[in-house]
Amino acid sequence: MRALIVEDDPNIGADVESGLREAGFVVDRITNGEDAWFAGDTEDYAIVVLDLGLPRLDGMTVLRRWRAAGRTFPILVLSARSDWTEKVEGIEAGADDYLAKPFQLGELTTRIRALLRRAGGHAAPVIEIGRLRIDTTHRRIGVSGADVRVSPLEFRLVNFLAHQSDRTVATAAIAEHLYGSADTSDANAIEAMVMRLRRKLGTDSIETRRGFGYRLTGGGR
Amino acid sequence: MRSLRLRLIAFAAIAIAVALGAAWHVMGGLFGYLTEQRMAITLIHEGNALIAATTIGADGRPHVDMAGLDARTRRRASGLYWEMATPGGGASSPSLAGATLSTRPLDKVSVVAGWRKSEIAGPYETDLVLVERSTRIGNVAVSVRLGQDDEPIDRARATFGHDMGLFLLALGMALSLAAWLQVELGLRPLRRVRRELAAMERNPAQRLSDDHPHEIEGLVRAINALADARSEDVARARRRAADLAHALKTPLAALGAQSRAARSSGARAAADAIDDILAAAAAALESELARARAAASHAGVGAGVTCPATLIEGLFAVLERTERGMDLVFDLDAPADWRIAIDPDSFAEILGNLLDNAARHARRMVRVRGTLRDDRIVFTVDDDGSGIAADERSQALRRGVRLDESGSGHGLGLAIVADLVEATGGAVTLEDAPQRGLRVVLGWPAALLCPEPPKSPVDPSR
Repeated sequence: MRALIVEDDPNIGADVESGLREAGFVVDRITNGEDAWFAGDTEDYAIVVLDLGLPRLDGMTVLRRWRAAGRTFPILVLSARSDWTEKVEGIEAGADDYLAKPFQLGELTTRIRALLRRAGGHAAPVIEIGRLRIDTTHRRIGVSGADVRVSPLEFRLVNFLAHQSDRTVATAAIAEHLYGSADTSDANAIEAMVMRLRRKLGTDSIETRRGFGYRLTGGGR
Repeated sequence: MRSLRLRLIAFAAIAIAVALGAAWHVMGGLFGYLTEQRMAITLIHEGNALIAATTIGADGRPHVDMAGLDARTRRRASGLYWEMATPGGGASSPSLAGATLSTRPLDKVSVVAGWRKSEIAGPYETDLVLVERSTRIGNVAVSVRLGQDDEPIDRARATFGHDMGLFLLALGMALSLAAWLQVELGLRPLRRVRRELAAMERNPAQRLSDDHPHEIEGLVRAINALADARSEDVARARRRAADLAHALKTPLAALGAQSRAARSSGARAAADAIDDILAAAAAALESELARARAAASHAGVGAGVTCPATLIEGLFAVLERTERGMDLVFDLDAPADWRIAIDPDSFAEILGNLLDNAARHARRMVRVRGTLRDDRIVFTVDDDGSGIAADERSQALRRGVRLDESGSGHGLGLAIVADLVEATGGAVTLEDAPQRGLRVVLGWPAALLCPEPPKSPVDPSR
């Protein structure tokens, strides 16, 4: 798998590079924003580690340009700025995770693995139910053609319901799937998550069968 | 006397009292003088009548035909008297009953219509107003003197003084009331400045309004300029501290890389030592940054308006991507149209750190609720973790204490959150969450809730 590291500090860059090589990646390392923008636009990477304070073109602009051009590879932002406002800004600009400097290399590789797991990797179909379009490759949900931001857990719930061929799924079965165990208190969490999903996808997108469970209808077209 | 209002009112009251007292005195004197003049003129009329009624007899003595004269001159000690003298002898009014009029004037002699006017001691224990002149009747030189009791003048003067006194007292009260009203109205703009200054103390980003009277416009401008300069100073210091801290983070990260290089080449003890120092330096840096942020919030730096719902959803998006947050449900229930007058960066730090803490301890769910309760904006952050025992809660809010050392979150501990909440004018308490876990309760005065949509709400989707 190819990884791109964009970091202008030679020590940190070399350190991250050696860490990723040890983890089995083929690594490209770039030290300025302009070259990084070009590389990300033309090459396919499994993962990108992006510093924000870069010479020539700042990291946030590079990130926005990649996303605007439809580049979907997972991006982990590495930044000295650890304010929550800036983390929010980074995520809203299209980053998949945000790690503040100074960091532990172990934590960086753990997060990269998590990003790769989330990105899936194996080809899967796009499922369409009602108004919903569930892209299982890029783990995205569209409602009437517009992308809606859902959390990874929310995606897993929708994806699970989508694979139940129009059946009503019991809360316990959902908990079992999401958490690997079922517990009475999980029902509250699942109910809250369904409420949030209804706000995001439309109130009629998920149906509640009291005493039975939930069914994904996708709402009317 | 430190009250400007009391000073002004007291000064006005004294000035009014002095002015009215002087007016009372002068008008009383004037009234007395005019009454006396009037009496003198009446006496002169009577004197002219007396002269007209007088003939000089062959013996050279004056003979007076009393029929045309004032009846009082015929009544003994009536208060109206006359005397006449010629070289051949004299005559006097029956009212004198043989007494004579004194020739020693009691005060200055003045001249009215050709008559000398003065005051003398009267024959019957009262003072008299006296007019006298010398004239000729036929060829005989005659001296004529008429006197009248001045007691009616005294009585009129006393009545006038009393009535005038009452009137001036009422006038004085009306004027004092007007002065008080004037002072109250005059000081109203200052009271408004004081109210606005109090609001400024609560919310340092606020400024005095610019529609004050001309007389205090300069003062208001100076106060606003001072507040701007102070905010700018604090903002600059904060930027400098933040830049310094951020500038230090990259070398720290580089040092971490060196430590790993040392470790891989076998120098494990040295690498461990460097890692320990790095961890301490990074923690100190974060803590100082948070402290600088709290101090800046207190000074109202960058204060603006926060839209809590949008901001919290943005924080959820960050946390949902972390390893721990990935499996959690983040739930928000707060009015989407709320705008709160709190610096968005401070609000993001408060909720970000609390949510990060909650995510590290939650089992399935982190829940944020925003409500208005008893004139307070209340946000609760609940997790369904194991919670904090009641006796450890106050400990958790103390600086430098971290109950849980585990986890890789960026949480700076509840103490720093508490500092930030306090700096933005709020308060934080810890409770049991309804089901299980910890509930953090944040409260701010409802006055911070903005009534209308702000010009530039913070929108993390920018």
